[in-house]
Amino acid sequence: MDPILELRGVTKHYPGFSLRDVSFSLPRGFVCGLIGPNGAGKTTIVKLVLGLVRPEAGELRVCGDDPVTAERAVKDRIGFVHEVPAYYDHLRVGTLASIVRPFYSRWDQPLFEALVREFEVPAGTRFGSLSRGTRTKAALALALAHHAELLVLDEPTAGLDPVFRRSLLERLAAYVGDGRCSVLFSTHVTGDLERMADYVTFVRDGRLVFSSTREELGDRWFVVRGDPRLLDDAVRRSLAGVEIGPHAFTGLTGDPAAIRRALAGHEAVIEAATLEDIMYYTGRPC
Amino acid sequence: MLNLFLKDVKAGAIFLWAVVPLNVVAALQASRSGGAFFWANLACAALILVAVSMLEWKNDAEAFVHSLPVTRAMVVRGRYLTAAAIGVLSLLVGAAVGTARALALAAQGAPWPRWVAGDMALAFVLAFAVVAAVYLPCYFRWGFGRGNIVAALILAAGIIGSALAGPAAAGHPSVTAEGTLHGGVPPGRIPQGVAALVDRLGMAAGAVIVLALAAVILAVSAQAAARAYERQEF
Repeated sequence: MDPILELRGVTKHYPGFSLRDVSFSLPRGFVCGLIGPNGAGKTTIVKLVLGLVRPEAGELRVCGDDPVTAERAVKDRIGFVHEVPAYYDHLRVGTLASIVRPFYSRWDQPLFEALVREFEVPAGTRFGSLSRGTRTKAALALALAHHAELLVLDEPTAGLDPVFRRSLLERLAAYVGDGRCSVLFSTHVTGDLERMADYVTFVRDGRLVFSSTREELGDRWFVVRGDPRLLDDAVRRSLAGVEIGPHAFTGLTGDPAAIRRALAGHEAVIEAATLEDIMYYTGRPC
Repeated sequence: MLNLFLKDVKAGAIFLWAVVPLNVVAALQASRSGGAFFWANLACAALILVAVSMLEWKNDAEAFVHSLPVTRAMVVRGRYLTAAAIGVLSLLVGAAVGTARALALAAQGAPWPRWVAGDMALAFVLAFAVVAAVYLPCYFRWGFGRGNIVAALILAAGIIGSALAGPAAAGHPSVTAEGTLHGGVPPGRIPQGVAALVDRLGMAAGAVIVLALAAVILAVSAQAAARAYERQEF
């Protein structure tokens, strides 16, 4: 498959934090959820993709090009929505669009106007006067109006009401539907990804934990619950982030066959893990 | 680059309009001291350059600007173009306001003031080029906060050093030992030096030299700013 985004061994150091040896790819026509706890490195990855920061090692390709050497061409094909969209607060949304428009080779003014109407963004209102959710909607309209091939969304659903959030997810699903465009969706709200992500990339402490399809995750990760007395060495070895309560233990396993063998003949619940379960239990000490 | 300049014009329109009232105030001041108009006009232009640069910092909009299909070098060149436009706009408004003030003074029987003249326009261009050439690399290297402080320190050091190096009026007959005269050439090395140069070589040759010098100063500064900005991350 033709990857629209490809990271190979990408490394970036900051004082007190390093993103190390991150590799994953996103084919065209799919949505990739980028998940991880605060400070995991999600925003650094987003910034690397946008060329806002430069990698110190490794290789990064966006739409087949290096975002450092082909910066303009790459950015022309990216739509970006920041967690807290920041433009010029004193300008009206329509003026912002008139600023952004000449930069993009494929800006579609009728599409922008249609999006603004659909999202109910008051184009004549100053950006700084808009609510957080409406700012995000305005940013989405700006990001979608130039027919970006890769949409990079950094926590876009924060501040959105549930109705618009649902319609946004539907729109993104339609957006990737033509097989040409893709979405990189960084978020804490894993429920959004359960609905729409084709791929999930999980980073923690600057390292890649996994990057795989949602189906693979569903086949691999399971939450196990049972009587704490069942927690012998064999069971513990197969579990991550075990929580022990007075009546039951809960843990995550990436090896369901081993846990089924270890718990054979005992009463235990083994069910598919949600993304939140995976994030939570893999982040806990064993 | 032109799109980035237009972005600055649209985003900074509110400040660009301020050129007119600020120059009117400066022109009114100029009736008391001829030098005040020159330096107030320059300060007004510098203020607008700083204000336009402030917009991205104040709105936290650097990530937005750099998510547009632009390179860091283009952002730097765009801002130098904006600086040039601010300089030209300030010069034109200053010339218009200054001429109006001079005509009003002349109507009262006063001689045409020395501070409204072609060589002072050249001096303004050179002085603003120096200000922009110091300010913009500091802004692109250290950002708005620290960059302003560093640029202010450099410019202050330049002014103090220039004052310590000798009397500003040295060698030019139209300025007294006090350095400031109503209707005389404004004090300061740049207006004095440009006036002396034009006296010696004539307006055309003086203009060529001064404009070339301003262009070289800005070109060197833009190179330094681009190099500094290339290392910036957002």
